[in-house]
Amino acid sequence: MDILHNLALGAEVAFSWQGLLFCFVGVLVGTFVGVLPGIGPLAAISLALPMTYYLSPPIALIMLAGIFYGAQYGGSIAAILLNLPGTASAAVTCIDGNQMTKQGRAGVALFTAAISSFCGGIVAIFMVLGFTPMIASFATDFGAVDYFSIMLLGLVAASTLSVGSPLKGMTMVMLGIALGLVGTDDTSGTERFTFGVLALSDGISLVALAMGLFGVGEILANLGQEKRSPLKASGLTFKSMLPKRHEWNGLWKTILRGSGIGAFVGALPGSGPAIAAFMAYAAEKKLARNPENFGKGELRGVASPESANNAAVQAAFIPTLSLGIPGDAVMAVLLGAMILHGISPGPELVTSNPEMFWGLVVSFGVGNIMLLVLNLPLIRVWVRMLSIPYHVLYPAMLFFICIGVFSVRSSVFDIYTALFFGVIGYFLIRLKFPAAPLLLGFILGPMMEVHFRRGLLLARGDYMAFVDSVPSTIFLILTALFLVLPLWAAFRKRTARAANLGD
Amino acid sequence: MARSINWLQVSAALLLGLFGLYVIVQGSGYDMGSLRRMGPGFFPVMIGSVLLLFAVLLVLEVWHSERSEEQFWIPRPILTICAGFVAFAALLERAGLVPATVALVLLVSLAEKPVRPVAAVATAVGLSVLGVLVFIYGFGIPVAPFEW
Repeated sequence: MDILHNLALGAEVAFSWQGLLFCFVGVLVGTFVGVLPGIGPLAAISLALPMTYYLSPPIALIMLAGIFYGAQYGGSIAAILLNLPGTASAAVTCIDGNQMTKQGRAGVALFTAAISSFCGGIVAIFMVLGFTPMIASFATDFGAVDYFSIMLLGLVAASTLSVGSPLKGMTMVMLGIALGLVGTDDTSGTERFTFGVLALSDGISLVALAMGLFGVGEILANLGQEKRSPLKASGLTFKSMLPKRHEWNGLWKTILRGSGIGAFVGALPGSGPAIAAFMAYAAEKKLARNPENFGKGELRGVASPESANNAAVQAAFIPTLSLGIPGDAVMAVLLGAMILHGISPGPELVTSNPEMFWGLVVSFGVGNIMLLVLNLPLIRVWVRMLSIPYHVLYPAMLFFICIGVFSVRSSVFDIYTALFFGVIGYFLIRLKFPAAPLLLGFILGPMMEVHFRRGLLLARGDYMAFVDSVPSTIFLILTALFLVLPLWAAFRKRTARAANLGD
Repeated sequence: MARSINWLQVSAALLLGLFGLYVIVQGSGYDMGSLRRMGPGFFPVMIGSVLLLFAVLLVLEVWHSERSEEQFWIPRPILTICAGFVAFAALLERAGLVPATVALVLLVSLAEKPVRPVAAVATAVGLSVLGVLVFIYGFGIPVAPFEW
């Protein structure tokens, strides 16, 4: 009965006119940025962040979350029609989805993508409902050392699990933590790394940093590239989207497997929807009776990653809401938004702000239904979006970045900050340094410092405190595993290469 | 075949190392405190050291890494976007939101060839109207449309 009572409380928030309106705005904006290649959910959430100051915290979070999972729906559209992933997590969908477009089955692919995303979302909602309060009640006994260790685990996992060099990822985490040092030290009141600039005494603005790295940086990278291919998608009718009966056979199993993998992977700290989609696709290909069909327009190659990435997005809220540990950079920004709204994320959140947690979960259900409606009958509208010329789009985005950054704290200085990190972000993209771990480090760094200092204070300066506590020890062992495995792999590769060169 | 050194990647790693070194030097200027009662300098020195260590390892990793063919230095977009942002920031509180928006949009429109003057002006006008309606009347940001 307790859960029914809680769900009723959540429904009160999610079905209030504000809840419905901003959930709709969120999923609409999310689909929009998901459709457009070059702007991801991270840039969109950073853009929307200043606007949430005018909303109550639960409503703000409902809207920001809507952008995140809305983008997963939209991301598949550009992936299927243009072979361009609208979001990073839709990259896997390109493989079979675009093949289907070339075979004239774009409609079926789009339909399957939307249905799969929806199922993935629903499965993940039940995971969030079941696990978040459980993990939170388990974590109420966590002390400062445990928090430090689990944050360390999250950072290391996020940087080593991402695509590309794990060492680059970890270096970016450290750079992020270093940037997070700027500002007034909470414990002693000392100003650090502010160069006497008053605007820096509150630290570097999170919104300016995120919009610079992911907004301005991406725009610069797009502008520097060769021309984008134009879209040709015609004859897309609702009727052409319905799959034939034999295509549906057994597809529900694929969708369920994808949702399960996505929800599980998404709930782990440090792994985002992109990894979930990739793993689901790989598993599906292994299980298939006809693996050679994958990559040649196999419908299951669309259903599997699409169900996984949307499930992962919703499941990613589990560690964020139960422990206050964001799994990836988007979650980190959402966590930053909660802190800006005066809510301290942690195990107490579910009990101290029940309307927030339950309202958000109910809104996931509402939002997914809205998205299904937005993506099936209205698909032609989104396809039209793809024809907005970039020379109109990017000045508009830059304008929203400028005004958005300024409006957070009416600070002209922050506009320069966004520009600075925009140029940095561009070079990071070109040099293949991942910027997401930087943001994660920037947000978690100050929290880690507080827990580190408090932990050692309580232990009277004894480092053994970190291995005296059982949860902390487990987290540290896992961290060590994540650290050693990629380094060892890199070392083996190097020695193998050196041996080859020596011959 | 001897592979050439990827100087671009190596210098990026070296720059990160230098930054780590700077964090250590600057951080050690603050009170270090003791393990039991840490001062504000302890954590920065720790972070700077790890950053320095990772940067050194990174130099080794990228020393012979493959170079990407993508163009790295793109002066036109970088400079026009810098100019647009600086103009917006400088004009916003002195001249008002509308002149700042127009300056921003027109300057950044120069980033791509061919320049499309009509589209740029139309975008500038559209965004000015939107900015005044949404941000000044809607959200009430403390800026005037025109500052006289």
